[in-house]
Amino acid sequence: MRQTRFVALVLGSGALSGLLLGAANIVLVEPYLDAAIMDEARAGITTTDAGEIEMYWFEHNEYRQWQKAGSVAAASLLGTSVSALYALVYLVYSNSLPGATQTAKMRVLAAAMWASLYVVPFIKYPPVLPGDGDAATLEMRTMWYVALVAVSGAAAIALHRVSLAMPSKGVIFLAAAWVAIVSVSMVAMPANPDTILTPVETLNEFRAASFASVTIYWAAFGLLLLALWGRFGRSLKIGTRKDGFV
Amino acid sequence: MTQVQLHALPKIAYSLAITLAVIFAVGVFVMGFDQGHILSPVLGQQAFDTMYLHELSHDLRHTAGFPCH
Repeated sequence: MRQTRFVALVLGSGALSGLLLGAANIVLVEPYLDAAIMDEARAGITTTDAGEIEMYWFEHNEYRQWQKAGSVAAASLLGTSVSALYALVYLVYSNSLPGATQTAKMRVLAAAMWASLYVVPFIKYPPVLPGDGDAATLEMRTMWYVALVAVSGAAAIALHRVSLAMPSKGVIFLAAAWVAIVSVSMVAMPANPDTILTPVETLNEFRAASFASVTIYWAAFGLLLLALWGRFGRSLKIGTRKDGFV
Repeated sequence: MTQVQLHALPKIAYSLAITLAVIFAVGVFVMGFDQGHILSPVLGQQAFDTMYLHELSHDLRHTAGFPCH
């Protein structure tokens, strides 16, 4: 029951933070996506008939409104999904996560997941705008992206487990080991092979907006979870013997 | 000699662990990677042609950094 209530608080925080990600996406990132998709759509016009062109843009704008609404729903679903992994990892490692209190442990885990599951792939495979992706390389790019996230996340968990049997001074060594593993993986994995046509300045602005949006999700998730935990869950003491944990 | 403290891992019900893993895996696949696979049992080839879920989550995929197309 205690675990179930904890999971409900985490998933609820994930869903609401996902909505915030969707809102941040609309405000910060959509201007760049709109411009890039507009360029693609402009290139797709094959008629000179004014009426057909007017209908083309009408349908295009309707479709874009549907996609923007979809991105908010998708953000909430993605936020919920990622928070499910957070709940799973927290329930398994709550006894051993760094931090003197449960709220400190929650903050540490959120920061660790943001760094290992988002920042690492962002550095090696930063997002690109529509129009810069080659469908022929999608499968390969997806495979390497997933591989890097898996290596980063698995290395973090494996090294944390090793740290449980080490003195506290060894934690710094293990953190350095994680950085080394991730760095070697980044160097060993191939770069995005696609030709990027977007001007560098525009691309960098888009990537900064993208980074800010996802970081807003993780910050909001951590703050919201702590707020809900303080209101509804502090007495649950997840990770204690009383809760069935050993 | 440095004292080494071993931390036991807590017990979590298998059913809860599996449920959370499924929510994570399915949710991330649908929102980040699906190219028509999820709806293909219902729509057949049309699912790969229209990529309904891909189009729905298209903008978020670019924002979150998933390889989109």
